[in-house]
Amino acid sequence: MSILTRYTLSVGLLLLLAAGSVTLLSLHTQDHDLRTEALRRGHTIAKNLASDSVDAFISHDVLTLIPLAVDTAKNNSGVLYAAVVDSNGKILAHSDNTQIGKAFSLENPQALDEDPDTMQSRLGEQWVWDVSAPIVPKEKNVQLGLVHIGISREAVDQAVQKSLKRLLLASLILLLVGVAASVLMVRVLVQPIRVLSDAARRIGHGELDVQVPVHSKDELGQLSDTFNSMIGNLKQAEKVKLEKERIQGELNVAHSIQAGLLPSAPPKFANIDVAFVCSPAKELGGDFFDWFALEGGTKLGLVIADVSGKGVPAALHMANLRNMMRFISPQSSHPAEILKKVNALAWPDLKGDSFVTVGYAIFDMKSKELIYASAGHEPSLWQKHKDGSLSECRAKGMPVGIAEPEDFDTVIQETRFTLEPGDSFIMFTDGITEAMNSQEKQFGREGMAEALKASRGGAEAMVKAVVNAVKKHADGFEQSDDITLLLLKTV
Amino acid sequence: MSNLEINHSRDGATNAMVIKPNGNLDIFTYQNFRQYLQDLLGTGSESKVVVDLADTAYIASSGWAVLLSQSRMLRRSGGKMVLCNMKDEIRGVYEVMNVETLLPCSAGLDGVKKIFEEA
Repeated sequence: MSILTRYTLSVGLLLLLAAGSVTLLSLHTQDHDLRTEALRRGHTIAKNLASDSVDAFISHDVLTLIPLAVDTAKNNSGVLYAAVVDSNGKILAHSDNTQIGKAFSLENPQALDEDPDTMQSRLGEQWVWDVSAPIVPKEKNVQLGLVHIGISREAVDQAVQKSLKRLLLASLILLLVGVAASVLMVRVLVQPIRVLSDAARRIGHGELDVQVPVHSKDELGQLSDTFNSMIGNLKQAEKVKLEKERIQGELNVAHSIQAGLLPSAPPKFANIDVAFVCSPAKELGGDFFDWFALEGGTKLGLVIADVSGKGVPAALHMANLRNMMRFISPQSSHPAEILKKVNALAWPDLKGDSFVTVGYAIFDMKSKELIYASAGHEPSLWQKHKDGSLSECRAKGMPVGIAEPEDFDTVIQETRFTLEPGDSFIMFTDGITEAMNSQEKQFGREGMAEALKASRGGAEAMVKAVVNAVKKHADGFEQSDDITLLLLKTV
Repeated sequence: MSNLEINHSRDGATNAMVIKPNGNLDIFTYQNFRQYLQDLLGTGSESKVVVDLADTAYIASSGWAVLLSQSRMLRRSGGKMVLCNMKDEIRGVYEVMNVETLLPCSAGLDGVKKIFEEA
């Protein structure tokens, strides 16, 4: 049921009740007043006739009494009859001559509640109130007879009927006007709600340019105002969401660009087997690795790096460093010299706010000699084929970007050793050794050593063995750092 | 997600500002840590700063970047930052980075006086 129907029905019902009560009350009051007035008049007429009749009654002068009764009935409107009755109840005089000499009687007389001396009775088709007055001579308290006056009730009934019609008409008009006014009022009240509801529906369909007019400062006006600011907030939220989606989209593009900066396949050279893995913890990682064929393909440069921090800044530094390495690496077969040049170039960009740890190895494919330099990078590992033993390859050096070239250059050193056939050289980032499980226990170099010792097969299988061991250790715990591993195995 | 609480106090013996992070300095906390150091040291009024790592189990590269960059700023204004109470796990990384000349480390709080006097 709509508000309009409900409200109109309620108002109609209330008005009906009110008008009904007013009508009943006023009819009752009018009926009572008119009756009282009619009876009082009847009493006065009766008293007058009684007092006029005293002398004639005493002298039994019927000829005087009859005209008195007739005149009384004729001269007073609403008086149906007037009679003079003796103490025996015999009619001495009557406005209707035929009644003279008969005993005075009434048809089914009933005393009135408000006036017990008055009887209500029927006279033919009419209701009549019989008002009586005693005939008492002056100065003698003796009742000689009675005077009866018949007052017609019709006049009162007609007046009440007339009033009832008028009141019913007034009630009907009141009801119609009231209902029409309530319909009009509800429409005026409901109109802004309809506008709001329509606007809400449009917003539901994604239209955010809707504005609700504010016409007043009342509750509905405030609601409209609140509604408008809600639309504003929704618009803002939508804008933020779109902006977020745009940024996310750009990050996804950046991620594929970054993935494209890394080698897609390991180098293919005789007598060596190289494999790698690189998975960023976020969309954009700070890890990077690369390989270069140097000196006409007789030497292989392998670089691994970890930029401090994550996300876009780390990715930008990573891209910058990758390009530097690509350009600088052909300039020297000494990894420390290359890292010095990289630091000299990167230092002005990084200035200690961010840094990069870099491990750089140059492997001579003929002599199997490996020269390694580290710019503060996680020590690499050398696994000997003959006994399966693992040794750390440490080389002194500070991370790129934290020290000016004069400091950096004095610290950095190289280490060199020769790989036997079947030996492996493993470079990785701390994302592997520092991979944590839910108890915050790190995978560690021990975990790494175990995984390597247990692994069999080529470079690819060994890399997979380490990655699986890290996954098993983390046991679903989200990795917070990028994981990169580069493995060279001599055949 | 790690939580990091940081406190600071004045060391009576050296008059150094001792900053004590309680928690890991990692990808989630390094921005708080940097802001804390910037607020405390940004005015340039402190010349001797000790970072007490007794309650720190792990420092990620982003944490090291904050320490190294703040230490460099202090050095440029004639001050010095010293680390102390470093746990073995952190010491491993610290040693690999070879940054003792830029960011010296003392075993305990007692040793920092000597390091400040060296400068």
